[in-house]
Amino acid sequence: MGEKRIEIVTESMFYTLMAFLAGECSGVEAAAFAEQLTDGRVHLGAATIYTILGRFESEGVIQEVRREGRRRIYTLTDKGRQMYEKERLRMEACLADAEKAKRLLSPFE
Amino acid sequence: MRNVYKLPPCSIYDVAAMEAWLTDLAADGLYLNHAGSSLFAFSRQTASYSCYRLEPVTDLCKEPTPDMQEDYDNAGWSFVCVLQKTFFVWRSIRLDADELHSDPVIHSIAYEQIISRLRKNAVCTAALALVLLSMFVCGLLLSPRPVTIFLANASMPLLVIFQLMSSIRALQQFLRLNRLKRSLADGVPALHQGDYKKGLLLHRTAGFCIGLLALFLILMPLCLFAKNWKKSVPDVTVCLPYVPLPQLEGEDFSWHKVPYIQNGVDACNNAEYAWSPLVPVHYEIYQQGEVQSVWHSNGTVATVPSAYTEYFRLSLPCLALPLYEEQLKNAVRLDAGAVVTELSHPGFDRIALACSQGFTQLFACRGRQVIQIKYWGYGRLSDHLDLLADAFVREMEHSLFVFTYPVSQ
Repeated sequence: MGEKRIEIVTESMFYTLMAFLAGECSGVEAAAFAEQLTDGRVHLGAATIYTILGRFESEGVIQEVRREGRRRIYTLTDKGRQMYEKERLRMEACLADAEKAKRLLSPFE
Repeated sequence: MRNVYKLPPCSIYDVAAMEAWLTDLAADGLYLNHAGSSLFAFSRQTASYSCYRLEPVTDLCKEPTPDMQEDYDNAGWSFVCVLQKTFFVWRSIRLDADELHSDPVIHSIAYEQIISRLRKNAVCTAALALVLLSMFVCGLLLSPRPVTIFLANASMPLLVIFQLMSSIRALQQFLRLNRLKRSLADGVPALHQGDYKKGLLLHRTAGFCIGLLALFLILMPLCLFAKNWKKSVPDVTVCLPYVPLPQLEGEDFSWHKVPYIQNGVDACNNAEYAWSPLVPVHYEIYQQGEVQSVWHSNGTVATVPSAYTEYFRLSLPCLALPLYEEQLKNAVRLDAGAVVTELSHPGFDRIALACSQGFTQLFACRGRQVIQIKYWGYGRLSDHLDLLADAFVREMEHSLFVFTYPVSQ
C-alpha cells in the first residue's frame, strides 16, 4: 500500500539477504552476522533491520517460520534467493569490469 | 506526579525540529509521557541528557512489538509513546547510543506509507476546497440575488476558508516529508537538530485560526437550532418591525377565522426569527385576514388581504444598501409591469414602492436595517411610513441591549 517494489538492493539489504542465506535467523542475528562478517564495517541499526525485515516480508523475500519467545525467526524464500543471486552476479560483473578497466588503464603494471 | 502540558511549536512532520524540541525539553527536566492530538504531556524530573527519535509507524506495525522493544532497548533506546498514530517516539539516555537508522536509503523506505497517506490527504482536501470555492463563487456570480445568497449562507465563506487553510496545511506536510524522503533516498543521513523556534508564530497562529474556524462551524448550527423560533403573531412578545394588517386594512378588517395550526403555530399568521453571524436579526412575518367580498365594477371579488414582511438587521452596515437595491431590482425582474416610485421619508435612508394590480411592495433601508413588505389588499402602505419608522427605531433600541446576541423569547 503506497510501497514501491524493491528495485535497488542496498548494501544493508544485501548483507541481510546473505545472513538469511546462511540459515534461518532473527533480525538481530542477521545484523550481528553482517557486523561480524565485515569486521564492523557494515553496521545495521535497529530501525534499519526492522525496516528491511518489514519490506522483505511484505514483498515475499523472507517469511516467518516460527517464534522463539519474543523473537521471530525468518527464512529466505525462493524469491529472496533469486534477488540475492541477481545482486551477487551484478556486483561480480561490476568487479570484473573494474579489473578490466584497471588493466586497460595501466597496461604496463 | 502531575503532568505538564505543552503545545508543540512545529508540525509533527518536521521530524528534525520535533526531535530537537523534545531533546531540549529533556535538558530542562521535562520528559515526554504521552502525545495527544494537540497537547503533549510531560513529567517533571531531574534534568539529564536524553535524546529522542521519531520512527514512522507502518501498517505492518502499529505498535512496537515486544521483540522490537527488546532489540531497541539493547541498542539503548526505550519506547515512549505513539505520536498521533504516525510516529513511534524513542528516547535514549546514553550519549554513545547507536543511531536507529544506519542506512539513509532504508530510512527513506520507512517514510513511504506516511507520504502516500499525506499525498492522498493533500489531494482530497485541495479537491474539496476547489469544489466548495467553485460552488460559492458560481452561486454568487450566477444568481440574480448574490447579496441575499451571501447573507443566507454565512457559514459557506467560512467553510471555504477553513477548507483552503486545511488543504494548504496538508500540502505543506506532504511537501516537507517528501523532501526529507528524497534527501534520505539520495543517501543524505537525517538531521536531528531542527530549528523549532523558526516559524513558531506562524504555526501557532495557523493552528489557532483553523481550530477557531472548526469550532465556529460546529457550534453555529447548534446555535441556530437553539435560538431560532416560530410563533403565532399574537404570541410574540418582542417588538416586531412590521405594519400590522389591521392598521393597513382599516375598520372592515378581521383575521382569518379558521386558523390552520401546524406544530402549534398558526400557519396563516406567524412570525419566524432566525439568527446568523451576518444577519443577527431576521424576521419573516406572515399575516392573513378574512376574505372580504368587495365587488368591483368589472365584477371581480377582492382577494384575501395578506402581508408578508421580511426584515434584516445586518452585522455589516455596508451590505444594507446593496441588499435593498437587489430586492428592488428583483421585484422589477419578477413583475415587469410593476410601477416603482422612490419615496422620501426622514426615518429611512432609502424607501421605494413597487405597485401592480392589487399588489404593493415596499422596500426600505436605514443604517443596517432592511425591510421588504409584500401586501395584497386595499390599504396604502405609504400611509404608514411613520409607524414603520418607529418600529425600526424600537427594533434598533432593542439591539442596544442585546447587541448582536440572538433575540430570545
